[in-house]
Amino acid sequence: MNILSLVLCFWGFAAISASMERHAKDIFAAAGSLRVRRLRLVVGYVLLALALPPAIIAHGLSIGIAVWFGFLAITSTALALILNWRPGILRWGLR
Amino acid sequence: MGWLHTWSGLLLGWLLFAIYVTGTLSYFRNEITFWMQPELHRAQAVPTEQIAFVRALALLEREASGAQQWTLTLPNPRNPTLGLGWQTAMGGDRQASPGAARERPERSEARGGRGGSAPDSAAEGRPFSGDAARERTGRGEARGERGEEGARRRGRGEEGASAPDSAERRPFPADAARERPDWGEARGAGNASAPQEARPQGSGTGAQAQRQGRGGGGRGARIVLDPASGDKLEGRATAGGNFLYRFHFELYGMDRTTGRWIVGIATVFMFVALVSGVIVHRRIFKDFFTFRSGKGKRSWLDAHNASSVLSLPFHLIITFSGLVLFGHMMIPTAVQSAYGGDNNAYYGVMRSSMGAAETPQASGERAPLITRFAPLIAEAENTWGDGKRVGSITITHPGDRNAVIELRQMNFPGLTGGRNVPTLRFNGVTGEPLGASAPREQSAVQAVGSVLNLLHRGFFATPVPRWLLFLSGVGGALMIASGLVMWTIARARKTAEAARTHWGHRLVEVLNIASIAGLMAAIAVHFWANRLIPASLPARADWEIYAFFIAWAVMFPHAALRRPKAAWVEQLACAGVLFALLPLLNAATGGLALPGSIAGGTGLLVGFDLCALVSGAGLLFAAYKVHTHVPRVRLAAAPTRGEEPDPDPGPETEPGASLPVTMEEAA
Repeated sequence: MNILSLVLCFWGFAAISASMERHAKDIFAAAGSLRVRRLRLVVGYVLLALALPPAIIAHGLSIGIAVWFGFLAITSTALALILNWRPGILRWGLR
Repeated sequence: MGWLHTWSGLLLGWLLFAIYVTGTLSYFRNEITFWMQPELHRAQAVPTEQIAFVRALALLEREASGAQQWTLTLPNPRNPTLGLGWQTAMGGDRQASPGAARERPERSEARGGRGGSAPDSAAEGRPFSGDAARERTGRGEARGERGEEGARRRGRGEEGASAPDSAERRPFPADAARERPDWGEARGAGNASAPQEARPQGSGTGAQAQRQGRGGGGRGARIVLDPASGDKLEGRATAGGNFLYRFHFELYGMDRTTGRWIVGIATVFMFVALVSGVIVHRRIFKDFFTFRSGKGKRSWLDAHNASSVLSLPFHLIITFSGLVLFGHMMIPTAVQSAYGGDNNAYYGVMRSSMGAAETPQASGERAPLITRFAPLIAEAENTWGDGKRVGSITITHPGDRNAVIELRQMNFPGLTGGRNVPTLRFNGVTGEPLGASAPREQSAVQAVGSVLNLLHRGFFATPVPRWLLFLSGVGGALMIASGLVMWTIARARKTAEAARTHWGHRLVEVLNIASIAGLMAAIAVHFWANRLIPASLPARADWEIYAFFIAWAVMFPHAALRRPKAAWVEQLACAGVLFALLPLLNAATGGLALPGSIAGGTGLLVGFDLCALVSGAGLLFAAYKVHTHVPRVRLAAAPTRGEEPDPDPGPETEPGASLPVTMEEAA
């Protein structure tokens, strides 16, 4: 459940980052249309939201929420580093 | 608003960095303490059926037959040993009014201090001054502190080694007079001899008399056993992780209240810096994932932003809850008006207890205590289900017909219930179940207080949340360090153009180096000192701490005398080497080495050694980056641009590349 939550957080953030013009260019070489990027944004937020229930299942309501915030923090940090060094590797996961 | 952020961050930034680093390490203070007692490393956690309860109980019978309460702390992921603790009866006045008897912090400090100094002075044949605590506030600073140190050291067992957090006591009717464990007061400490210390009975009694004389409170002690064999383990005297823990909220070498005020004020600055930082950061969403390396000042700003924004919930909560923890001290008006200034009453309400069943009074008739705990444990774990485990066993009135055995759950069920964890009680003679504790209803205020308190202190945390808290703390340390460095970088050009470096700029630079890189090196020295100072040296635990401060103190003149770049490189490299070699030191000085701890599944030792390696590598990488850095600004001495050092639990003192003399002295 922890892993599932982490993975969802990571790809949620990845999708959100791919909805931003600058990062989308880094990942795909081209930014893509506005519609596609909007879609990524929505998908990203949905994934982040979906990451919450597994954390709650694993840790109970109150601790689960805290853990979810922690997952958000570390996955977004990891993503920021990946976007800096190897944005290309995100491509396969983002269609 | 920018100026507010800059200056609120800078002025106490160095202190805040130290608070963040030591506080972050405190999430693993039990693990650190355990690492610092290599004598215990070979204890193997075993399944509950194989725990040597019979021997443990026999030992308690021998050493603590008159005790009112025994506690067995079962092996847990944070400590594989079996801890035994006991408490004798409380002073009568306290029993009479358990509600009012909760210790307030001032009190418990006094007791911690005295409790600690009592055995000390007994050991040294000095007359024990019953007034040590008062002296401390008056003139006897040194002495009182010493006592406290002693208390901390000795308290380690209680606090550090023993407790899986969940096993911290909850108030319990007969028990209410115990000191608040809240501040991690060496409560046991006050009452305890060190686990490792087979204190001669005589001096123990003397100390007890002193304590009883000042108004009750039980005597207690702790012993650590190998859970499988039931053999007594004698760990070296050390403050362990508790030194770092206590440093992060009350510093060292000064009156506690003063230390807490200083930290409290720094926390206010931190909060101001956080909030103003969010306000001045205009592109918080746009730059959310942005980190551009290799771009000088830009990169520093990105790193500062990323480390702040991405863990912002953590930073806000930890800072705010830190303030709330100090709230009654810094803003006493609420306690004044609502409780007439009676901190006890306030704590009593805030901590709230389980609606615990009455513990029957001792009958006075002897009856044999059950020694087979495994069925009780199995029953409790069945009742709780869901993989919940028993963390500790408390036996009240052992040997009496009315003995009660209480099993406490190892982990916290949630954040809102304070420190209360579910318990199950059994008759100690017949084994008949006496029912479970029911959590008491909490007010919204209590629940909020509980959430803030627990989030800050991580009592609830199983490994995953604990690591998350730790990593977020590392992020916070990076945030502060990068912010501090940015102050100098932002002004580098101006400084470079000026004929001479402004003294203020230079001062900030020196303080940055010594309080960021230097602190990391000093922490490493602390761990090295733990292993290099002979286990039998008197006051060795103090020397571990002195080593830390001596090493740290040396960093300041070093940073002032060297050119900034050289100073950064040398101190970072020194810290890096010291941390990276810790696993070797551990292996060489009697600890369980990495291969052994991996094979034996002693996760906490693996974690410590790996953290040391990772921090060492991170620090060396930072040193390398600084070393190879070619400043973009024409400036002979642009400080560093490596990543910040990871504050990790690590080891210490080898003659480092740069400071052999220092290190040796320190060790």
